[in-house]
Amino acid sequence: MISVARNPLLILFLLLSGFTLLYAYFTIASVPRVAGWGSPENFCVSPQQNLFDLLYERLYLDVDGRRLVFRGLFVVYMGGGDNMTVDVIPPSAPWRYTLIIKDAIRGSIEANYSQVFPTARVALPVIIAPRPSIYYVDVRAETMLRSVERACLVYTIAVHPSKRVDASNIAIAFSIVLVMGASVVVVLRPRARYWGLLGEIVMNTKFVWLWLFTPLTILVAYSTLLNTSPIVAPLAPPITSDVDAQLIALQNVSDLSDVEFLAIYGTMSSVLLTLLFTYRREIGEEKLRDLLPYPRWRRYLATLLTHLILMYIPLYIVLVLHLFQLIPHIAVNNPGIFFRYLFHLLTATIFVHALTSLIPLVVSVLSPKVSLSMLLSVVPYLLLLYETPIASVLLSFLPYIRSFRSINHYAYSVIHVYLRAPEKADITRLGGGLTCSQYLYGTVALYIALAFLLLLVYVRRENP
Amino acid sequence: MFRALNVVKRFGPTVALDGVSVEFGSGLNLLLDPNGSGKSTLLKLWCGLIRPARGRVEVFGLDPWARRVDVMRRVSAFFEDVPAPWWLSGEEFLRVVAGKRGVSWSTVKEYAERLGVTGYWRKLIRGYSCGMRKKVMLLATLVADVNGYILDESHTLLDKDSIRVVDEIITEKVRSGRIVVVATHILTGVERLAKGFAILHNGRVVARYPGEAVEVPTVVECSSRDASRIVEEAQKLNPSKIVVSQSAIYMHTTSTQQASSFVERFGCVAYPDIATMYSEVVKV
Repeated sequence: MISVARNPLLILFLLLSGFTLLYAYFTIASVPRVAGWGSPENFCVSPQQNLFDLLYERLYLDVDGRRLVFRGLFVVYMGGGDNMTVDVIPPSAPWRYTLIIKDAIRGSIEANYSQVFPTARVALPVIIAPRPSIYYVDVRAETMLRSVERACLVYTIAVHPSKRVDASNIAIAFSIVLVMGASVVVVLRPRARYWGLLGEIVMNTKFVWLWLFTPLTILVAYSTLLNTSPIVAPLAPPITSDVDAQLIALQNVSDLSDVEFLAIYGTMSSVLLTLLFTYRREIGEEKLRDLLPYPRWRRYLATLLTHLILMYIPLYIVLVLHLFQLIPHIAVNNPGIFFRYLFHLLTATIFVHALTSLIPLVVSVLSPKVSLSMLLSVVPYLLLLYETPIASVLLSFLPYIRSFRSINHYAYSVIHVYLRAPEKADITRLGGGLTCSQYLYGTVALYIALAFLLLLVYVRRENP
Repeated sequence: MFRALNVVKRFGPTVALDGVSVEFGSGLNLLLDPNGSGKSTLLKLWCGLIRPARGRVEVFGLDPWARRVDVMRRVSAFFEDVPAPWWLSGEEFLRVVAGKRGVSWSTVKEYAERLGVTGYWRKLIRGYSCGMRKKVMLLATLVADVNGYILDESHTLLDKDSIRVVDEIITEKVRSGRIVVVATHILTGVERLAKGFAILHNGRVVARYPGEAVEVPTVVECSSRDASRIVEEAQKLNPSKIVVSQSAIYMHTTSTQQASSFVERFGCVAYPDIATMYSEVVKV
């Protein structure tokens, strides 16, 4: 038993499980919530401007400016039994509502619904997903206006998860207690063997373990606060009382936005990497490693790998487990597509890891003092919350970030991810249109940039 | 072989080493200086932690800056200002070192028991006193099976028993043909084994042995078996001091010729009188 506990692989496995479950706890396994979005403000057209184009949702006037048409195309990722509504309120009645739902994996049409309604506010159908899959949704609403005039339309897309979250919540909470408890016991056992790159990663992990409790506690507290705080505006607009449809009642529970998530996760990630890069240097412990026959490049590699393993692999594992839980038939029936998708997400994860490592690295080069560099490296993420221009720069940082956002979506509390529909339901392009090879090239380029920065660190620090 | 040839090292406007040339071969070698004279800088150059501004540094024929990893495979070093990783226990840290040095755990344990480290080594290092921490770090250095050892201020903060054990271990290393370089300003008696020394002052070498054309005060240590005859002969030579103890006779002389004649005639052992030399230099 003791010899098993001395195995560094086991220690790493336990630590990884602990971190993964911890992330899972405050990401997917929180309260059940609704995912979706609504129409923008002033989603209107007029004879002067007869088209409002949101790329995949479009509102326009047709036939001498009297016919108003709304068309939306999007992809929804749903588990079996989940409810989805596409709620539309046109400016006038009668109006025609058409909804086509297609299983993107099977290629089968699951629903083809078309109905003319005499009033504007009606109970629209609730779509219950027959199986976990990715659904291709085509919605259309048409009405004839009484005169040529300005017309506005309101729509709300919402998915309500049907089950499973509460059960997994309890299971995961128990698992966290068990695995993290075991991990702490094992980590604090002084009998572990350490050698080579793996030993270095284990040492780093223990260092991080001791440091990371504080940020994790803050993160959990913040996450809990956001789940319950009334000051947070709900993502989906509240349903007005005159809607006569019980099934589409939405829960008034909000999610973290992408920006908030990126800010928190980026902050944690930066703190961790800054610590790994600067703290031991500052206290002089790096010299100790230099006095052992251990190349510096392996040390830096171990640092980057530790960061990747602790901050990003748990997200990836949560995502993969979640995919297996929700769409196992894809893995069984279309393993090629499934693994291509996993590979795509893995490269995207590594890419984002490289990208987010740049800021702390640059700061560590410029300012090797841990306190200052930690502060500086989190500033961009904190500004994300308050400064729209910075947020827009960072979030529009190519489609890579969008891809990462989709990972966050999966791994985070939104069970169901809405993505603006691509032309075809090709799941390898869910992240925003980049192919695997593009990610690979991008990843290689970023790692070269990282290596260059490491060289700068080396030159700056090793030659006083 | 540790070698420095006309080495200059600057830290900004401060000149830490100014044309230092030193060469140490097998056996115990001492590097002595008052505080801030540059001995730690020289040792760090030999470990490849820093690079000389001018001159050449070699360890076993290798450039330590360019080939630090290769040098550190042959050399084990202890520096007073290098902290231990506080987030590990002493035992974990020694396992790291043992793993990277390829030393068996039983050897580590044996050394640890001699130094009295096993009593506390399962606690995290951050809870150790300075002396406890130093013993763990010294252990990590001395346990390595390498050709050369560098010890910077290894004896300060240690209790009497620990100093004795460290000296014993150093003696064992020296007798097995290793090179041991000790930088210190505390002389504990182990200096009698010294085969060479250098005294630095303000970044320059003010005295060194061997390889220096200066008279080095020498201690001749003879067995007390033939005490009366040795003392009689010694008094004829008018040495600076004669000390007769129960076990040995010590004659302090500045003449290397006198010292060698005693070594030849009576089988005595001669070694440089570093303590006297050092105190003279410090006085100057």
